Amino acid sequence: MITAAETCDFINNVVCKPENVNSLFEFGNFGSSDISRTEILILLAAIIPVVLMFFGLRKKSVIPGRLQSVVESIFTFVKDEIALGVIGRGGEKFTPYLISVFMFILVGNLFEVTPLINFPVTSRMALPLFLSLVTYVIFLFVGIKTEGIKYFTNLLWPPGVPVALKPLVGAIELVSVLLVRPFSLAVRLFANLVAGHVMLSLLLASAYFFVVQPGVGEYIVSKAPVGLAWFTLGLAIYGFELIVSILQAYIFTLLSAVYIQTSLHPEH
Amino acid sequence: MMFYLDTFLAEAEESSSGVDLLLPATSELVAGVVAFAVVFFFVWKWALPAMNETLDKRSAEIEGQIKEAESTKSEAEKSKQEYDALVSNADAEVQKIIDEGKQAAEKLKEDVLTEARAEAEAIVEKAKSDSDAEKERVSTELKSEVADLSLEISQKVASSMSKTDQKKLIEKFIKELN
Repeated sequence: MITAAETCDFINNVVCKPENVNSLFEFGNFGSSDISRTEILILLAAIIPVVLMFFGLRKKSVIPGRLQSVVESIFTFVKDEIALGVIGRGGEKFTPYLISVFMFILVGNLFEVTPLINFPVTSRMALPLFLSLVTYVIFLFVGIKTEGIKYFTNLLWPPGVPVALKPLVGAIELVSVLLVRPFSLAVRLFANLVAGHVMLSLLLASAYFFVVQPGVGEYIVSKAPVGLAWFTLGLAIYGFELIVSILQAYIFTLLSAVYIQTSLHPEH
Repeated sequence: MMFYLDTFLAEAEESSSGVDLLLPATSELVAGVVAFAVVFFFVWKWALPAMNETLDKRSAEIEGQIKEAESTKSEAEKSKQEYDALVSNADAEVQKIIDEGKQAAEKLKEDVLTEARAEAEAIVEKAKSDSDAEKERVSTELKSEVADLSLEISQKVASSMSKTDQKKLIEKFIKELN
């Protein structure tokens, strides 16, 4: 946002708006290449967990070091609490997917509070949408494999629904499960990270504008305290966003497991 | 103020393209697919098996250590039992030695007493014997002296007596002596 705002002419424009709202979330190109920095960050969100996992698990020490403890804790948590804890019997098959989703989203989210990056790649719709579609395909596939074509009838008309209500319930279930579910899963992650990113950007950009922005130099003395107040609030929100980043990775993984569980064990 | 509001509304209307944010950029989608595929294959093929292997190794190690600890404990208990038995035997041994010592001392005491008694008896016996011998000697001496005196007296009396009277007197005297 600061990058986008720096191109504005504050003196002559009352409202400064970029040509395309997307540019607020774009990170610019990487050097002179066509690969944007967002794409580089997406690849980094894969490379960083892979490197961490490699260095954490390569020694396979019986007595773990710090990095190994961290990686093992994450793996054990996702496996025991989400894959086996939520899905239950048969959940171990989905452990690699759930661990990958958790690690990938977590690193992507934490870019929001990573100094000098401050841009969560999950605040771009591509990643949440892709991951939610993968989850969607998995839970549909598992459901069809478990129950066959009856999966859809059971999904639309759960057992015990009165005949008179079947059209209504069927329509609600069709929309909520088959249409809205993947979208809501993606938007939940995306919206949280966008909101956090915008909030942090506004607070820190406000601080920046009030204290540093050239062209308002005559007001700098009187406005600097306001900028510092925004900066302080921005730092507090920074801590909050750190929690949000971890929580949203957990929620996405947990909901993926819940959806798979409903297909794998429809009796529940 | 109105000018600003109009400008703002106009700008806001133009910026309704914010819905673009919900549409994924193709290049980012491709990058996302590639990136996630890398993470997934790495976790699936290497990281998770490596962690499971580590956990299995750790479980085996812990089980081994628990077994070793149990074995060491059982050995320690056995050693303790042996030590207790040894200590208990040592007590019995000491008691036996004491008893034997007591018995030896008793026997020694008995022997010394017996010997002392025997010596005392021998001394008493000897003293008795010496006394008897002395008594005999004194008696013999006395008898001899009595005989000498008697002879002397008898000589004196006999010189004044007849031969018959002398003879009677001698016989009577001898008879009394016996």
